[in-house]
Amino acid sequence: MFEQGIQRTLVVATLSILTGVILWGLCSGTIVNETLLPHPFSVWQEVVTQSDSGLLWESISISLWRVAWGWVLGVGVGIITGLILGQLRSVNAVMGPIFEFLKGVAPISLVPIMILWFGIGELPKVLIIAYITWVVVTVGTMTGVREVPKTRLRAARCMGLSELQVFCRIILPSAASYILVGMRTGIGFAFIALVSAEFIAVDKGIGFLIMDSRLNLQTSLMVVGIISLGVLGAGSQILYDVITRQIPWLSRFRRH
Amino acid sequence: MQDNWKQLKISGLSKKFLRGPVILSDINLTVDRGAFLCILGPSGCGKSTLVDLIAGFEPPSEGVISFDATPIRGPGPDRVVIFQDISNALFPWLTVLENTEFVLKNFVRNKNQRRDQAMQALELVGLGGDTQKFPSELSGGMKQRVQIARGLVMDPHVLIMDEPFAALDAITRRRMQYELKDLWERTHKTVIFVTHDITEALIMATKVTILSSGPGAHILDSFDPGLASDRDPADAEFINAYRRVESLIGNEHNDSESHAE
Repeated sequence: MFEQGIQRTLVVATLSILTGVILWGLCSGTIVNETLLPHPFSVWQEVVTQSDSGLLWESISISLWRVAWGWVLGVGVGIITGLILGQLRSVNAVMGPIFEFLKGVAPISLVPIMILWFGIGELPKVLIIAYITWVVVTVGTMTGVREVPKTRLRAARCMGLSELQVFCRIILPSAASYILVGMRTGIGFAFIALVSAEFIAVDKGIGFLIMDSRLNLQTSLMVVGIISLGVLGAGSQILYDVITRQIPWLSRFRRH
Repeated sequence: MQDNWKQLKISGLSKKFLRGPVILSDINLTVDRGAFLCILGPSGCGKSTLVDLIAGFEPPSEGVISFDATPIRGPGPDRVVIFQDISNALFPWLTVLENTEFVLKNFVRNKNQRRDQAMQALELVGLGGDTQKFPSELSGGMKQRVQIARGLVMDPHVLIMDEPFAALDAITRRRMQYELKDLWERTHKTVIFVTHDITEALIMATKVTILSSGPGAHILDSFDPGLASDRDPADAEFINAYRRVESLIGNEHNDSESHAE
C-alpha cells in the first residue's frame, strides 16, 4: 500500500508538471511575446548550451555552497537560541520581543547593512541565508520546547530526575521532531534568501544568472535560473527527507 | 527517606490558587502502609488537585503531608503518579522496555540489572511479550500497564493513581480494575487511587474516602468497605456498600440544594 502511494504521488506530480509545461508552451509565442516568455524548447536548448559551457554547473555549485553554509550556520545557532528562548522564561522575557521584531525583517532588507558591515565577499551572503534559517529553526525549536506535554514533565519529576536530566532526557527528545521540521522548512527559506543574498555584488551564482540575463534580455537563461532554483530547493528537501529517514535513531523522534 | 514508614499523613490540608476559589479545605487523612485507598468524589471537586499536592507538583496553601513525621517536599521517586493522560505519560521515543528501564538509570548502575528489574515488572503486568514495541503501537490499556510497570519498578512508598482507567473503554476498564486488585494482593504496594466511579472504588479499596463537591471540597466520610476478597458487584454486601456511598454523596447533594433555596 505504501509503495502504491509513492507511485501514485509520482504519477500525479509528473502529470501536473507536464500539464504546466504544455500550457506554458501553448502561451509562448501566441498570447505572450516569445521574448518575454520563451518557449520550453528554447529553454531546454539554453540548459544544454549552458551545461556544456559550464556556466550552469558553476552557478549551481557556488549557490549551493552558499546555501549549505548559511543553512548549517543558521541551524546550529537556531537550535541553541530556540532551546534557550523556549526553556528560560527570564531570557525569553528580555529577548522574546527582540526576536519577534527580527521575525518580520525580510532578508533582502538586510542586504545594504550587511554590505556595510561585512563588505561584498562571501560572508555577508552566507549570513543572509543563515539569518532566515536561524529565524525558522529558532521558532521551530522554541515551539518544540514549549509544547512538551505537562504530564510528560510531571512523570519525569516523579522519577527524581534533576533539572538538567529533565532537559537532556525529556525536553530535548520531545522537541526533536519540531527541530527536524524546522530544519526542513529552513531549507526552503534558505533558497528564498539565496536570491536576496546574491544581490550583493556577485559575478557568479544562480541569483546572478537571473539578474544578469535580465540586463541582456536573455529570458530563456533567466527561466533556466528560476527553474534551477525550484528544482534545487525541492531536491534539497527530498534529500533531507531521505537522509533523515535513513538514520534509524532519528525515526524514533518523528511524530507518531 | 525512611524505608520503615508506617503512615502517610495528610493534616489540615487546604489549597487555594491565587485569585481563585478555595479548592480543598481542611483535608485530614491517613493512609496506612500497604493500604489501597480510594478517594471518591464528583468530577471537578478537586481530586486532581489533591493528587498534585500529594505528588508534590503543587505546594499546599495550608497543612502538611508527611510520611510519619517527615514532610514531603516536592515530587520524588517515593511517590509515583500513574496519570490519566494516557497519550502523554509514556516517552514515545522509547520502547516499552526502555520506558520501564528509564526510571532506574539514576538508581541502578548495572545495565543488566536494570533490564532484569524492568522485565520482571513488565511480566507482572502481563506485557512480557511486548517489550520491543513503541507506545504508539499499544492500546490504551497496554499503555496504562506500562505506566504501572514503570511505577512498580521504582519501588515507591506510594503509587498515586489519578483516574488511570477513565479514558479506557468499559470492558477494558473493568478488566484492568480486577488486574490491579490482583496485582495489589500480590505486591501489597500502598496505593492511593482517585476516581469518581463508585463501583471501581469498591472493587479495589481497603479504605474509601469520599470528598464533597467543590469548591472548598472536604472529606464527607472515610471507611473500610469491609468486603470479601472476591468483590463481585452483584453480591448483596457489595450492593449495600454501594448504597452507603451513594447515600453519603446524595445527602450532600440534597444539603447543598436546600442551602440554595
